[in-house]
Amino acid sequence: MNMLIKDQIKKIMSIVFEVDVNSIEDDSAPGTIENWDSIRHMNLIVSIEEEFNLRFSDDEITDLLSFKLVESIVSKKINN
Amino acid sequence: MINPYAIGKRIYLRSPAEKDIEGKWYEWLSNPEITQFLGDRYWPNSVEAQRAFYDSVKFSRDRLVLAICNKETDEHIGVCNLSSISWVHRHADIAFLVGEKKYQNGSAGIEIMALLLDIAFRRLNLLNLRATHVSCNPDTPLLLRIFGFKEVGKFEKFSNFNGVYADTIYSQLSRENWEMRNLPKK
Repeated sequence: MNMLIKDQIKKIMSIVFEVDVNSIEDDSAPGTIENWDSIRHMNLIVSIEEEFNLRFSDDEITDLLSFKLVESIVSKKINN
Repeated sequence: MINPYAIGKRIYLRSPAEKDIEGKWYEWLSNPEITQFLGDRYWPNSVEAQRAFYDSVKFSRDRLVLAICNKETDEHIGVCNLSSISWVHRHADIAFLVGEKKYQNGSAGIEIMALLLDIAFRRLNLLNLRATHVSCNPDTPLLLRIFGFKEVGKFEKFSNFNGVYADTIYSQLSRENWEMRNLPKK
């Protein structure tokens, strides 16, 4: 299940940031992905909400700043 | 942190201070790149005009103006406000400006919006917020969508931006909708 979530998030990130899906790692973040700017960051949030049919709280939105954090928050929301 | 009013993860909001007037604040509002999507951007700003604005809002109860600062360095990076606050109808306008360029391309806007919504709905007990943006602004619609604002109307071809007339778009967020996303489910 979590593997599937991980793969889905990586796929979304690769589309939003226009990078190879294999280049996305646990520590991928605005500092490591050049295209991770403010507009793409907001597109990432919208795309994840649509893909997983969920809504982030304001507190969660301010935390979505690396692949690992995105994966952790999405997994928690789906599994609750 | 100096006199923090609302504390986020990477930024905090505080009351503007005298020292801000002669800092970068007034310059941001003269810079055409920074003010490109603001309605009030055609006249140059000055220290004197900034002081007059500061004096007009420092004791105001219908406009809450806050300085946006870096939590680690205390650097003043922008300004945000809840304006036209109606204590009868309990609504206000929401807006912010990130003046320092190095913070414009990151997540500062998201954090500022989260802090302002918390102030508006939880601390000031407001019921509705209105956001206004122009249709040629690429960032704001996404930001508003993320935080649950709904587009409620527009004035078509209402504002001139470099020769092109853009729509002025109004969006609304109610406390009820904000609470649905932010309060723990019972």
